[in-house]
Amino acid sequence: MSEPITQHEEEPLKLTNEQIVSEVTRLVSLAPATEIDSVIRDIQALCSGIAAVNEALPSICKTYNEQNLCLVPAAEDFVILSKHSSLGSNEYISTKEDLIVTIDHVARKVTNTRRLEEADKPSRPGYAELCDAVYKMHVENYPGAPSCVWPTDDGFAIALVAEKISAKNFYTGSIRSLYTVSNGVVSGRMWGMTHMFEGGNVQMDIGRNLKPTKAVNPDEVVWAISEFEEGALADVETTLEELSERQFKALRRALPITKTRLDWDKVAHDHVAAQLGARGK
Amino acid sequence: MTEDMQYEAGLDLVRRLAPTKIPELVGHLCSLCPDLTDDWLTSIDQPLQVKKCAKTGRDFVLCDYNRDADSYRSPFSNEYEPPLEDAVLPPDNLRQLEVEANDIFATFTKLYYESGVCSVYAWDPATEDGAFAMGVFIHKVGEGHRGLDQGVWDSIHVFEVVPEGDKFAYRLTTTVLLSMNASGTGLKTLAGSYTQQAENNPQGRLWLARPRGEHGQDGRDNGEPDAEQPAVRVLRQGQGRPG
Repeated sequence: MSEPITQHEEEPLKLTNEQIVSEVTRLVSLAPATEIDSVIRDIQALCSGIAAVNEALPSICKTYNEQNLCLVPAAEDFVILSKHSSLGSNEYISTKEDLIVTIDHVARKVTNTRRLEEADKPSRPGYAELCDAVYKMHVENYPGAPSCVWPTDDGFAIALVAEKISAKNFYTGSIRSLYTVSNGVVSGRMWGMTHMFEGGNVQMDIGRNLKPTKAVNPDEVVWAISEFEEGALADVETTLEELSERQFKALRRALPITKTRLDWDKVAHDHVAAQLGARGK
Repeated sequence: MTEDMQYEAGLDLVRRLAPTKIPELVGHLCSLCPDLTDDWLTSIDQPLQVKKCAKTGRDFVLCDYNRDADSYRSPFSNEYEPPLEDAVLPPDNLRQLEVEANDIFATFTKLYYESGVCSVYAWDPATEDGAFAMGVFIHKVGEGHRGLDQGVWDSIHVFEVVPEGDKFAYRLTTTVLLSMNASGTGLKTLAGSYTQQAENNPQGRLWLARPRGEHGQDGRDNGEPDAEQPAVRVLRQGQGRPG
Protein backbone atom coordinates (compact mmCIF):
# COMPACT_ATOMS: atom_id res chain seq x y z
CA MET A 1 0.00 0.00 0.00
CA SER A 2 1.36 3.39 -0.91
CA GLU A 3 2.39 5.84 1.80
CA PRO A 4 0.01 8.76 2.29
CA ILE A 5 0.96 11.93 0.49
CA THR A 6 0.76 15.11 2.57
CA GLN A 7 0.79 18.74 1.68
CA HIS A 8 3.79 19.37 3.90
CA GLU A 9 6.24 17.32 1.90
CA GLU A 10 8.42 19.23 -0.46
CA GLU A 11 6.54 20.53 -3.50
CA PRO A 12 5.55 17.45 -5.56
CA LEU A 13 7.66 16.92 -8.64
CA LYS A 14 5.91 18.02 -11.82
CA LEU A 15 5.24 14.94 -13.92
CA THR A 16 6.62 14.76 -17.43
CA ASN A 17 4.16 14.22 -20.27
CA GLU A 18 5.41 10.67 -20.55
CA GLN A 19 4.69 10.03 -16.88
CA ILE A 20 1.23 11.57 -17.14
CA VAL A 21 0.39 9.35 -20.12
CA SER A 22 1.67 6.35 -18.16
CA GLU A 23 -0.61 7.22 -15.21
CA VAL A 24 -3.58 7.62 -17.57
CA THR A 25 -2.82 4.32 -19.34
CA ARG A 26 -2.83 2.52 -16.02
CA LEU A 27 -6.10 4.18 -14.90
CA VAL A 28 -7.84 3.20 -18.13
CA SER A 29 -6.63 -0.39 -17.81
CA LEU A 30 -8.38 -0.64 -14.42
CA ALA A 31 -11.77 0.42 -15.78
CA PRO A 32 -14.67 -2.07 -15.89
CA ALA A 33 -15.70 -2.46 -19.55
CA THR A 34 -19.33 -1.71 -18.70
CA GLU A 35 -18.36 1.76 -17.43
CA ILE A 36 -15.44 2.73 -19.63
CA ASP A 37 -17.27 5.76 -21.04
CA SER A 38 -17.66 7.28 -17.55
CA VAL A 39 -14.05 6.49 -16.72
CA ILE A 40 -12.78 8.22 -19.87
CA ARG A 41 -14.90 11.29 -19.04
CA ASP A 42 -13.42 11.40 -15.53
CA ILE A 43 -9.88 11.11 -16.89
CA GLN A 44 -10.54 13.87 -19.41
CA ALA A 45 -11.75 16.07 -16.54
CA LEU A 46 -8.68 15.29 -14.43
CA CYS A 47 -6.31 15.94 -17.34
CA SER A 48 -8.19 18.84 -18.83
CA GLY A 49 -5.90 20.98 -20.95
CA ILE A 50 -3.04 18.45 -21.10
CA ALA A 51 -2.43 18.05 -24.83
CA ALA A 52 -0.27 14.94 -24.39
CA VAL A 53 -3.21 13.07 -22.87
CA ASN A 54 -5.60 14.06 -25.66
CA GLU A 55 -3.02 12.87 -28.18
CA ALA A 56 -2.44 9.57 -26.39
CA LEU A 57 -6.07 8.69 -25.60
CA PRO A 58 -7.00 7.24 -29.04
CA SER A 59 -4.19 4.71 -28.84
CA ILE A 60 -4.81 3.95 -25.15
CA CYS A 61 -8.52 3.44 -25.80
CA LYS A 62 -7.87 1.28 -28.90
CA THR A 63 -5.73 -1.10 -26.84
CA TYR A 64 -8.32 -1.18 -24.07
CA ASN A 65 -11.26 -1.70 -26.44
CA GLU A 66 -9.59 -4.61 -28.22
CA GLN A 67 -8.38 -6.32 -25.05
CA ASN A 68 -11.80 -6.04 -23.41
CA LEU A 69 -13.96 -6.90 -26.46
CA CYS A 70 -15.78 -3.59 -26.20
CA LEU A 71 -19.12 -3.25 -27.99
CA VAL A 72 -19.97 -0.48 -30.42
CA PRO A 73 -23.48 -0.20 -31.91
CA ALA A 74 -23.47 -0.62 -35.69
CA ALA A 75 -26.40 -0.86 -38.12
CA GLU A 76 -28.62 -3.35 -36.31
CA ASP A 77 -26.25 -5.20 -34.04
CA PHE A 78 -23.09 -4.52 -32.06
CA VAL A 79 -19.57 -4.73 -33.42
CA ILE A 80 -17.17 -6.50 -31.09
CA LEU A 81 -13.76 -4.81 -31.06
CA SER A 82 -10.89 -7.28 -30.94
CA LYS A 83 -7.51 -7.83 -32.54
CA HIS A 84 -9.28 -10.67 -34.40
CA SER A 85 -11.88 -8.33 -35.91
CA SER A 86 -9.39 -5.58 -36.69
CA LEU A 87 -8.51 -4.83 -40.32
CA GLY A 88 -6.06 -2.10 -39.33
CA SER A 89 -6.52 1.69 -39.55
CA ASN A 90 -9.31 1.58 -36.96
CA GLU A 91 -11.47 -0.59 -39.26
CA TYR A 92 -13.27 -3.63 -37.88
CA ILE A 93 -15.27 -6.35 -39.52
CA SER A 94 -18.76 -7.38 -38.47
CA THR A 95 -19.28 -10.74 -40.15
CA LYS A 96 -22.86 -11.04 -38.94
CA GLU A 97 -23.91 -7.80 -40.63
CA ASP A 98 -21.42 -8.02 -43.55
CA LEU A 99 -20.09 -4.58 -42.64
CA ILE A 100 -16.73 -2.91 -42.20
CA VAL A 101 -16.91 -0.06 -39.68
CA THR A 102 -14.43 2.67 -38.81
CA ILE A 103 -14.26 3.35 -35.09
CA ASP A 104 -13.56 6.42 -32.96
CA HIS A 105 -11.97 4.60 -30.05
CA VAL A 106 -12.27 7.40 -27.50
CA ALA A 107 -15.97 8.03 -28.14
CA ARG A 108 -16.57 4.35 -28.93
CA LYS A 109 -18.67 5.25 -31.96
CA VAL A 110 -18.86 4.18 -35.60
CA THR A 111 -17.70 7.02 -37.84
CA ASN A 112 -17.97 5.26 -41.19
CA THR A 113 -19.61 2.12 -42.56
CA ARG A 114 -19.14 0.22 -45.78
CA ARG A 115 -20.54 -3.03 -47.04
CA LEU A 116 -18.36 -6.12 -47.05
CA GLU A 117 -17.71 -7.10 -50.65
CA GLU A 118 -18.82 -10.60 -51.64
CA ALA A 119 -15.25 -11.53 -52.45
CA ASP A 120 -14.08 -10.41 -48.97
CA LYS A 121 -16.64 -12.40 -46.99
CA PRO A 122 -15.10 -15.25 -44.98
CA SER A 123 -15.27 -18.45 -47.01
CA ARG A 124 -12.78 -20.72 -45.28
CA PRO A 125 -13.98 -24.35 -45.18
CA GLY A 126 -15.83 -25.05 -41.95
CA TYR A 127 -16.51 -21.40 -41.19
CA ALA A 128 -20.24 -21.42 -41.94
CA GLU A 129 -20.82 -24.64 -39.98
CA LEU A 130 -18.88 -23.28 -37.00
CA CYS A 131 -20.90 -20.05 -37.07
CA ASP A 132 -24.17 -22.00 -37.09
CA ALA A 133 -23.16 -24.15 -34.14
CA VAL A 134 -21.69 -21.31 -32.09
CA TYR A 135 -24.50 -18.82 -32.64
CA LYS A 136 -27.07 -21.49 -31.74
CA MET A 137 -25.20 -22.16 -28.48
CA HIS A 138 -24.99 -18.45 -27.69
CA VAL A 139 -28.69 -17.83 -28.36
CA GLU A 140 -29.56 -20.69 -26.00
CA ASN A 141 -27.18 -19.69 -23.19
CA TYR A 142 -26.89 -15.90 -23.58
CA PRO A 143 -30.07 -14.62 -25.27
CA GLY A 144 -29.53 -11.24 -26.89
CA ALA A 145 -25.79 -11.10 -26.21
CA PRO A 146 -23.60 -10.03 -29.15
CA SER A 147 -21.18 -12.66 -30.37
CA CYS A 148 -19.04 -13.22 -33.42
CA VAL A 149 -16.83 -15.78 -35.13
CA TRP A 150 -13.88 -14.55 -37.18
CA PRO A 151 -11.36 -16.37 -39.31
CA THR A 152 -7.78 -16.02 -38.07
CA ASP A 153 -4.41 -16.84 -39.57
CA ASP A 154 -4.54 -20.46 -38.49
CA GLY A 155 -8.17 -21.11 -37.63
CA PHE A 156 -11.04 -19.19 -36.04
CA ALA A 157 -11.73 -16.90 -33.08
CA ILE A 158 -15.02 -16.95 -31.15
CA ALA A 159 -16.09 -14.00 -28.99
CA LEU A 160 -19.09 -13.39 -26.79
CA VAL A 161 -20.01 -10.32 -24.76
CA ALA A 162 -22.99 -10.47 -22.39
CA GLU A 163 -23.61 -7.22 -20.48
CA LYS A 164 -26.19 -6.00 -18.04
CA ILE A 165 -26.13 -2.28 -17.32
CA SER A 166 -28.65 -0.55 -15.09
CA ALA A 167 -27.40 2.87 -14.02
CA LYS A 168 -30.65 3.75 -12.25
CA ASN A 169 -30.31 0.60 -10.13
CA PHE A 170 -26.60 1.26 -9.58
CA TYR A 171 -25.22 -1.95 -11.00
CA THR A 172 -23.43 -3.25 -14.06
CA GLY A 173 -22.11 -6.67 -14.93
CA SER A 174 -20.70 -8.65 -17.80
CA ILE A 175 -19.48 -12.04 -18.92
CA ARG A 176 -17.00 -12.08 -21.78
CA SER A 177 -15.28 -14.94 -23.55
CA LEU A 178 -12.71 -15.33 -26.27
CA TYR A 179 -11.64 -18.70 -27.70
CA THR A 180 -9.46 -19.75 -30.59
CA VAL A 181 -9.84 -22.91 -32.63
CA SER A 182 -6.93 -24.22 -34.66
CA ASN A 183 -5.52 -27.61 -35.63
CA GLY A 184 -8.37 -29.47 -33.95
CA VAL A 185 -7.86 -27.76 -30.56
CA VAL A 186 -9.97 -25.13 -28.80
CA SER A 187 -8.63 -22.94 -25.98
CA GLY A 188 -9.22 -19.50 -24.51
CA ARG A 189 -10.80 -17.87 -21.49
CA MET A 190 -13.95 -16.54 -19.91
CA TRP A 191 -13.94 -13.55 -17.59
CA GLY A 192 -16.35 -11.06 -16.09
CA MET A 193 -17.37 -8.84 -13.25
CA THR A 194 -20.33 -7.45 -11.36
CA HIS A 195 -20.34 -3.97 -9.88
CA MET A 196 -22.83 -2.56 -7.40
CA PHE A 197 -22.37 1.11 -6.57
CA GLU A 198 -25.35 2.22 -4.55
CA GLY A 199 -23.94 3.48 -1.28
CA GLY A 200 -20.51 2.16 -2.06
CA ASN A 201 -18.44 0.22 -4.53
CA VAL A 202 -18.66 -3.57 -4.39
CA GLN A 203 -17.19 -5.69 -7.18
CA MET A 204 -16.82 -9.35 -7.94
CA ASP A 205 -14.25 -10.52 -10.46
CA ILE A 206 -14.47 -13.93 -12.11
CA GLY A 207 -12.28 -15.65 -14.65
CA ARG A 208 -11.10 -19.02 -15.83
CA ASN A 209 -8.97 -20.36 -18.66
CA LEU A 210 -10.00 -23.15 -21.00
CA LYS A 211 -6.94 -25.34 -21.41
CA PRO A 212 -6.30 -26.63 -24.94
CA THR A 213 -9.02 -29.22 -25.56
CA LYS A 214 -9.37 -31.54 -28.51
CA ALA A 215 -12.25 -30.45 -30.79
CA VAL A 216 -12.08 -31.50 -34.44
CA ASN A 217 -15.51 -30.33 -35.62
CA PRO A 218 -18.01 -27.55 -34.74
CA ASP A 219 -20.11 -29.80 -32.50
CA GLU A 220 -17.06 -30.74 -30.43
CA VAL A 221 -16.00 -27.09 -30.21
CA VAL A 222 -19.42 -26.07 -28.93
CA TRP A 223 -19.53 -29.00 -26.51
CA ALA A 224 -16.08 -28.19 -25.08
CA ILE A 225 -16.96 -24.51 -24.62
CA SER A 226 -20.39 -25.24 -23.05
CA GLU A 227 -18.96 -27.75 -20.59
CA PHE A 228 -16.18 -25.38 -19.64
CA GLU A 229 -18.45 -22.37 -19.12
CA GLU A 230 -21.08 -24.27 -17.15
CA GLY A 231 -18.38 -25.66 -14.88
CA ALA A 232 -16.78 -22.25 -14.41
CA LEU A 233 -20.07 -20.55 -13.49
CA ALA A 234 -21.03 -23.38 -11.13
CA ASP A 235 -17.63 -22.95 -9.45
CA VAL A 236 -18.34 -19.23 -9.01
CA GLU A 237 -21.65 -19.98 -7.28
CA THR A 238 -20.08 -22.55 -4.97
CA THR A 239 -17.23 -20.23 -4.06
CA LEU A 240 -19.63 -17.36 -3.40
CA GLU A 241 -21.45 -19.55 -0.93
CA GLU A 242 -18.18 -20.61 0.71
CA LEU A 243 -17.06 -16.99 1.05
CA SER A 244 -20.38 -16.09 2.63
CA GLU A 245 -20.56 -19.07 4.97
CA ARG A 246 -16.94 -19.32 6.02
CA GLN A 247 -14.63 -16.47 5.21
CA PHE A 248 -17.12 -13.69 5.92
CA LYS A 249 -18.14 -15.17 9.26
CA ALA A 250 -14.48 -15.76 10.13
CA LEU A 251 -13.92 -12.03 9.75
CA ARG A 252 -16.75 -10.84 12.00
CA ARG A 253 -19.33 -12.62 14.08
CA ALA A 254 -22.96 -11.60 13.67
CA LEU A 255 -23.25 -11.90 17.47
CA PRO A 256 -20.73 -12.52 20.26
CA ILE A 257 -20.25 -16.07 21.46
CA THR A 258 -22.91 -15.41 24.12
CA LYS A 259 -25.46 -15.21 21.27
CA THR A 260 -26.70 -11.89 22.67
CA ARG A 261 -25.85 -8.37 21.54
CA LEU A 262 -23.21 -6.47 23.41
CA ASP A 263 -24.58 -4.83 26.55
CA TRP A 264 -22.92 -1.40 26.43
CA ASP A 265 -24.13 -0.39 29.87
CA LYS A 266 -22.52 -3.49 31.36
CA VAL A 267 -19.27 -2.85 29.51
CA ALA A 268 -19.21 0.76 30.73
CA HIS A 269 -20.04 -0.38 34.27
CA ASP A 270 -17.29 -3.02 34.24
CA HIS A 271 -14.87 -0.43 32.89
CA VAL A 272 -15.64 2.02 35.71
CA ALA A 273 -15.43 -0.78 38.27
CA ALA A 274 -12.03 -1.83 36.93
CA GLN A 275 -10.80 1.76 37.12
CA LEU A 276 -12.00 2.17 40.71
CA GLY A 277 -10.43 -1.16 41.59
CA ALA A 278 -7.12 -0.07 40.11
CA ARG A 279 -7.20 3.26 42.01
CA GLY A 280 -8.02 1.49 45.28
CA LYS A 281 -4.82 -0.56 45.11
CA MET B 1 -12.39 22.54 -15.87
CA THR B 2 -12.67 23.65 -12.25
CA GLU B 3 -10.97 22.03 -9.29
CA ASP B 4 -14.39 21.00 -7.96
CA MET B 5 -15.08 19.11 -11.19
CA GLN B 6 -11.68 17.44 -11.01
CA TYR B 7 -12.31 16.53 -7.37
CA GLU B 8 -15.68 14.99 -8.26
CA ALA B 9 -14.10 13.15 -11.20
CA GLY B 10 -11.61 11.57 -8.79
CA LEU B 11 -14.40 10.47 -6.45
CA ASP B 12 -16.31 9.02 -9.39
CA LEU B 13 -13.27 6.97 -10.39
CA VAL B 14 -12.99 5.66 -6.84
CA ARG B 15 -16.61 4.47 -7.06
CA ARG B 16 -16.04 2.68 -10.38
CA LEU B 17 -12.57 1.14 -10.36
CA ALA B 18 -11.71 -2.07 -8.58
CA PRO B 19 -11.97 -1.49 -4.80
CA THR B 20 -8.85 -3.59 -4.27
CA LYS B 21 -6.92 -0.94 -6.18
CA ILE B 22 -8.01 2.08 -4.09
CA PRO B 23 -4.56 2.86 -2.62
CA GLU B 24 -2.96 2.68 -6.07
CA LEU B 25 -5.80 4.76 -7.54
CA VAL B 26 -5.41 7.48 -4.91
CA GLY B 27 -1.71 7.61 -5.75
CA HIS B 28 -2.47 8.17 -9.45
CA LEU B 29 -5.07 10.86 -8.66
CA CYS B 30 -2.69 12.76 -6.40
CA SER B 31 0.05 12.55 -9.04
CA LEU B 32 -2.22 14.00 -11.71
CA CYS B 33 -3.78 16.73 -9.51
CA PRO B 34 -1.47 17.31 -6.53
CA ASP B 35 -3.44 20.37 -5.34
CA LEU B 36 -6.39 18.10 -4.52
CA THR B 37 -4.30 15.64 -2.48
CA ASP B 38 -5.58 16.73 0.92
CA ASP B 39 -9.21 16.82 -0.22
CA TRP B 40 -9.05 13.29 -1.61
CA LEU B 41 -7.08 11.87 1.32
CA THR B 42 -9.71 13.11 3.78
CA SER B 43 -12.68 12.02 1.65
CA ILE B 44 -11.67 8.65 0.30
CA ASP B 45 -11.83 5.74 2.71
CA GLN B 46 -8.81 3.53 2.20
CA PRO B 47 -7.95 0.11 3.60
CA LEU B 48 -6.48 0.54 7.06
CA GLN B 49 -2.84 -0.04 7.91
CA VAL B 50 -1.47 -1.04 11.26
CA LYS B 51 1.74 -0.13 13.10
CA LYS B 52 3.26 -1.25 16.36
CA CYS B 53 3.42 1.42 19.05
CA ALA B 54 7.10 1.85 19.88
CA LYS B 55 6.37 2.61 23.53
CA THR B 56 3.75 0.01 24.43
CA GLY B 57 4.31 -2.68 21.78
CA ARG B 58 0.60 -2.68 20.93
CA ASP B 59 -0.72 -2.40 17.38
CA PHE B 60 -2.63 0.69 16.41
CA VAL B 61 -4.45 1.74 13.26
CA LEU B 62 -3.06 4.33 10.85
CA CYS B 63 -5.60 6.66 9.25
CA ASP B 64 -6.06 10.26 8.30
CA TYR B 65 -7.50 11.11 11.73
CA ASN B 66 -4.31 10.33 13.67
CA ARG B 67 -1.98 11.58 10.97
CA ASP B 68 -0.02 14.80 11.02
CA ALA B 69 2.33 15.31 8.09
CA ASP B 70 4.00 11.89 7.73
CA SER B 71 3.66 10.84 11.36
CA TYR B 72 0.94 8.90 13.13
CA ARG B 73 -0.18 9.27 16.77
CA SER B 74 -0.43 6.14 18.88
CA PRO B 75 -3.66 6.09 20.93
CA PHE B 76 -1.73 4.32 23.71
CA SER B 77 1.29 6.56 24.14
CA ASN B 78 -0.36 9.68 22.66
CA GLU B 79 2.94 10.28 20.85
CA TYR B 80 3.62 10.62 17.14
CA GLU B 81 5.79 8.11 15.32
CA PRO B 82 8.14 9.25 13.95
CA PRO B 83 8.30 12.12 16.46
CA LEU B 84 6.90 15.43 15.23
CA GLU B 85 7.35 18.90 16.69
CA ASP B 86 4.27 21.06 17.34
CA ALA B 87 2.08 18.16 16.38
CA VAL B 88 -1.69 18.17 16.73
CA LEU B 89 -2.79 16.58 20.01
CA PRO B 90 -6.31 16.25 21.39
CA PRO B 91 -7.19 18.52 24.34
CA ASP B 92 -6.95 16.86 27.77
CA ASN B 93 -10.67 16.20 28.15
CA LEU B 94 -10.87 14.52 24.73
CA ARG B 95 -7.70 12.55 25.41
CA GLN B 96 -9.32 11.15 28.56
CA LEU B 97 -12.41 10.25 26.53
CA GLU B 98 -10.15 8.65 23.95
CA VAL B 99 -8.36 6.47 26.52
CA GLU B 100 -11.65 5.19 27.91
CA ALA B 101 -13.10 4.63 24.47
CA ASN B 102 -10.06 2.59 23.41
CA ASP B 103 -10.60 0.34 26.45
CA ILE B 104 -14.30 -0.10 25.84
CA PHE B 105 -14.00 -0.71 22.11
CA ALA B 106 -11.22 -3.24 22.77
CA THR B 107 -13.91 -5.29 24.52
CA PHE B 108 -16.27 -4.78 21.58
CA THR B 109 -13.58 -5.90 19.13
CA LYS B 110 -12.78 -9.01 21.14
CA LEU B 111 -16.42 -10.07 21.30
CA TYR B 112 -17.29 -9.51 17.63
CA TYR B 113 -13.96 -10.05 15.90
CA GLU B 114 -12.04 -12.34 18.32
CA SER B 115 -8.79 -10.88 17.05
CA GLY B 116 -8.11 -7.65 15.19
CA VAL B 117 -6.80 -4.18 15.89
CA CYS B 118 -9.08 -1.41 17.12
CA SER B 119 -8.12 2.24 17.65
CA VAL B 120 -10.24 5.21 18.67
CA TYR B 121 -9.24 8.82 17.97
CA ALA B 122 -10.98 11.96 19.20
CA TRP B 123 -10.70 15.50 17.98
CA ASP B 124 -12.25 18.87 18.45
CA PRO B 125 -14.19 19.92 15.35
CA ALA B 126 -13.99 23.55 16.58
CA THR B 127 -17.68 24.18 15.89
CA GLU B 128 -19.31 24.91 19.22
CA ASP B 129 -18.70 24.43 22.95
CA GLY B 130 -18.77 20.85 24.08
CA ALA B 131 -18.90 19.35 20.59
CA PHE B 132 -16.47 16.62 19.72
CA ALA B 133 -15.80 14.06 17.04
CA MET B 134 -14.47 10.57 17.32
CA GLY B 135 -13.43 7.81 14.98
CA VAL B 136 -13.42 4.10 15.71
CA PHE B 137 -11.24 2.04 13.39
CA ILE B 138 -11.14 -1.74 13.30
CA HIS B 139 -8.81 -3.84 11.14
CA LYS B 140 -9.18 -7.61 11.00
CA VAL B 141 -7.35 -10.09 8.80
CA GLY B 142 -8.98 -13.50 8.48
CA GLU B 143 -6.89 -16.52 7.65
CA GLY B 144 -7.56 -18.39 4.47
CA HIS B 145 -8.61 -22.00 4.44
CA ARG B 146 -9.87 -24.64 2.02
CA GLY B 147 -8.77 -22.86 -1.12
CA LEU B 148 -9.91 -19.42 0.02
CA ASP B 149 -7.22 -16.82 0.55
CA GLN B 150 -7.16 -14.51 3.55
CA GLY B 151 -9.87 -11.88 3.85
CA VAL B 152 -9.63 -8.39 5.26
CA TRP B 153 -12.28 -6.38 7.10
CA ASP B 154 -11.86 -2.67 7.84
CA SER B 155 -14.49 -0.65 9.73
CA ILE B 156 -14.41 3.13 9.84
CA HIS B 157 -16.93 4.76 12.17
CA VAL B 158 -16.89 8.54 12.49
CA PHE B 159 -19.09 10.23 15.11
CA GLU B 160 -19.96 13.86 15.36
CA VAL B 161 -21.49 14.73 18.73
CA VAL B 162 -23.03 18.03 19.88
CA PRO B 163 -24.52 18.64 23.35
CA GLU B 164 -28.09 19.89 23.44
CA GLY B 165 -28.99 20.66 27.01
CA ASP B 166 -28.77 17.39 28.90
CA LYS B 167 -28.84 15.34 25.71
CA PHE B 168 -26.55 14.88 22.70
CA ALA B 169 -27.24 15.07 19.02
CA TYR B 170 -25.06 12.80 16.95
CA ARG B 171 -24.38 11.64 13.46
CA LEU B 172 -22.56 8.41 12.72
CA THR B 173 -21.05 7.65 9.35
CA THR B 174 -19.89 4.08 8.95
CA THR B 175 -17.89 2.62 6.10
CA VAL B 176 -16.95 -1.02 5.90
CA LEU B 177 -14.24 -2.11 3.46
CA LEU B 178 -14.13 -5.79 2.76
CA SER B 179 -11.85 -7.90 0.61
CA MET B 180 -12.22 -11.62 0.09
CA ASN B 181 -10.08 -13.56 -2.34
CA ALA B 182 -10.34 -17.02 -3.81
CA SER B 183 -7.61 -16.90 -6.42
CA GLY B 184 -7.61 -20.66 -6.96
CA THR B 185 -11.24 -20.71 -8.07
CA GLY B 186 -13.30 -19.19 -10.85
CA LEU B 187 -14.34 -16.43 -8.47
CA LYS B 188 -11.18 -14.37 -8.12
CA THR B 189 -12.14 -11.53 -5.79
CA LEU B 190 -15.15 -10.18 -3.98
CA ALA B 191 -14.34 -6.80 -2.50
CA GLY B 192 -15.81 -3.43 -1.85
CA SER B 193 -16.88 -0.69 0.48
CA TYR B 194 -20.27 0.37 1.74
CA THR B 195 -21.25 3.49 3.65
CA GLN B 196 -24.30 4.27 5.75
CA GLN B 197 -25.33 6.96 8.16
CA ALA B 198 -27.40 7.12 11.29
CA GLU B 199 -28.30 10.20 13.26
CA ASN B 200 -30.22 11.56 16.17
CA ASN B 201 -30.76 15.15 15.19
CA PRO B 202 -33.98 16.51 16.65
CA GLN B 203 -33.13 20.13 15.87
CA GLY B 204 -32.21 19.55 12.24
CA ARG B 205 -28.72 20.96 12.69
CA LEU B 206 -26.06 21.09 10.02
CA TRP B 207 -22.96 19.06 10.72
CA LEU B 208 -19.28 19.65 10.49
CA ALA B 209 -16.59 17.26 11.67
CA ARG B 210 -13.05 17.55 10.45
CA PRO B 211 -9.77 17.34 12.32
CA ARG B 212 -8.07 20.72 12.38
CA GLY B 213 -4.44 21.31 13.08
CA GLU B 214 -1.48 23.34 12.03
CA HIS B 215 -0.16 20.69 9.72
CA GLY B 216 -3.51 19.59 8.42
CA GLN B 217 -5.03 23.02 8.05
CA ASP B 218 -7.54 23.17 5.29
CA GLY B 219 -7.19 26.36 3.31
CA ARG B 220 -10.74 25.96 2.06
CA ASP B 221 -12.43 26.24 5.44
CA ASN B 222 -14.49 29.37 5.87
CA GLY B 223 -15.69 28.37 9.31
CA GLU B 224 -19.27 27.80 8.19
CA PRO B 225 -20.91 24.48 9.04
CA ASP B 226 -21.68 22.61 5.87
CA ALA B 227 -23.44 19.28 5.68
CA GLU B 228 -21.59 18.42 2.47
CA GLN B 229 -18.06 18.87 3.88
CA PRO B 230 -15.76 16.39 2.19
CA ALA B 231 -14.62 14.95 5.51
CA VAL B 232 -18.01 13.33 6.09
CA ARG B 233 -19.02 12.90 2.51
CA VAL B 234 -21.68 10.27 2.15
CA LEU B 235 -23.18 8.66 -0.85
CA ARG B 236 -26.66 10.01 -0.18
CA GLN B 237 -27.92 6.89 1.55
CA GLY B 238 -31.09 6.81 3.53
CA GLN B 239 -30.67 6.87 7.30
CA GLY B 240 -29.73 3.54 8.83
CA ARG B 241 -30.64 2.37 12.29
CA PRO B 242 -27.78 2.43 14.78
CA GLY B 243 -26.75 -1.14 15.48
